[in-house]
Amino acid sequence: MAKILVVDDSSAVRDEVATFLRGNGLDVQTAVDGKDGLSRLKADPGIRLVISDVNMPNMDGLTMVEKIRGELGNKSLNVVMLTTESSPAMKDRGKAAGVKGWIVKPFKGAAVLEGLKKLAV
Amino acid sequence: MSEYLIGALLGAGIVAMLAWFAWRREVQRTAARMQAMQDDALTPLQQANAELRAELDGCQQDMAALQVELQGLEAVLTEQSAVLASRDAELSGSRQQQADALQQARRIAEETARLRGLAHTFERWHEQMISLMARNQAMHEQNMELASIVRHVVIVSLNASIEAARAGAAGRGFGVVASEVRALAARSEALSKSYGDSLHLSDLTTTATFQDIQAGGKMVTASLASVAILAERFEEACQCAAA
Amino acid sequence: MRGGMISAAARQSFETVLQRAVRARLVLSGEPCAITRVDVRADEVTPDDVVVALTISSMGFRYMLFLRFRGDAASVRYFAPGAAGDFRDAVLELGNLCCGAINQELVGHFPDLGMSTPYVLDGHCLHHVDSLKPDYRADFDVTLDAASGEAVLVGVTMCLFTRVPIDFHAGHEVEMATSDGELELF
Repeated sequence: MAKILVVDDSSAVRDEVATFLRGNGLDVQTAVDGKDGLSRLKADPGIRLVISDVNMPNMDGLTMVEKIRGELGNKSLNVVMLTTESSPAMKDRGKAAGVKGWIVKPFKGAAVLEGLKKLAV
Repeated sequence: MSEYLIGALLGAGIVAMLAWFAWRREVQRTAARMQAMQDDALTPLQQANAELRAELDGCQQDMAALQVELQGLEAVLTEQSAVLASRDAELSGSRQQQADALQQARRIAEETARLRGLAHTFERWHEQMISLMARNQAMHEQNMELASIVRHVVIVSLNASIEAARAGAAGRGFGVVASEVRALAARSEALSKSYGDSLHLSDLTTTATFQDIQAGGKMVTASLASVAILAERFEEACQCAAA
Repeated sequence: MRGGMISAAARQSFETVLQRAVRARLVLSGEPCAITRVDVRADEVTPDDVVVALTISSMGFRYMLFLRFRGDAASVRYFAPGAAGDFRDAVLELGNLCCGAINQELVGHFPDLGMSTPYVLDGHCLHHVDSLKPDYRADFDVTLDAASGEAVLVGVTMCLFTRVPIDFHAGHEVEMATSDGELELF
């Protein structure tokens, strides 16, 4: 029962992704923005994979990843971005920040389930 | 006896002379033969000599030609050395340029990395816009409350008019006041509607500006990120080249 | 107003891109969808209306998209079937996806685009769009035939603000579908 953290300021997205993943036997937590995501990670070291939006108020997704690698010092936690952003520049910034994967919205569970499961081990 | 002696001597003398002539002739013939033999032997020698001389001439010519070639090669060598020397100078010149380029590349990379700090400025503008929107929202709420108060005043003034009418003549003054209050309330209501309209316009303009700043900021950060990556790669390339 | 700076091909292309995005992201399960151009927005705004506004900024121009969702029962059932309380969030995300699709297609023609997050406005704000003085404006009515037989109406308004001449040709549908929804590993 791998633990996955879904971070997005839209409740519609959090519900859609969490429901799908839970329906496939995965343990899922949610957070509403980058700040919330960081505090969840601090509270639960058992989280194996973070699926996060980029554009969020309070702290955007890429800043959150940079802080995970920097302040939290966690270089091994896998992070996948789930966002409408698809420009190569954004993806490069993600790569530089240590993002492991990129999914362009809308979320199509069937297409990404296997890949996500592998990253959540 | 002496005649015999003279005769013998003469005879001997003649024989000796004959023998001498014959011997001379023989010697001459031998000499001639020897000469001929010598000539015979000499001709091939002379030929060989001539051939050798010719060969020697040929060799001397070859040597002369080789010397010319050698001089030519020496000239080429000198030229090549000059070229090599200038190439060396160029190489050290270009090494210097590479070192300069590497330094420039480092500075560009540092600058673009620094400019990434622009993201903080955008965050600040973002926060300021959010507080502006919040203030707009507060104004909306105040306006709604005002409108609600105004509606209440209208109701109160209507009730007052009714009471005034019931009171008859005694209530006439009160009735006038009630009408004026109602007129004021109507004006307030109109003003509140118009104010609400202005707030909607303000909301729209603020949102449009806010979103332009947000989207524009992202556009700039994205462009800077690409430039920063290019600058880093350029710096690495310069380092490899200078190494 | 600098409408003349936007070529006819560009106008047509912007509208094509918009319609493709609407069909790809607002139509949830392949329902029939009619998109008609309207000239005058005359209908009354209701308090249940939710208008989602988004902006795409490029160096030379700005693109604003307004999606007017009705708060009626049909729309709520269609867009937020789970819980009615999430209707606002659901349409905010739909606006995000729709504008995201437009952004993805435009980025192939204009380098360096940035997109804002979506924001909800009151329906009355739409009356003031012309005061922003767009250089080009196009309004559409989108009608979705939900499986239940109900008609779901969405009003779409697009505005262009430009400082430079714009000309481009939107290609074919193929450009939209690149690596959509796939997990790309780094």
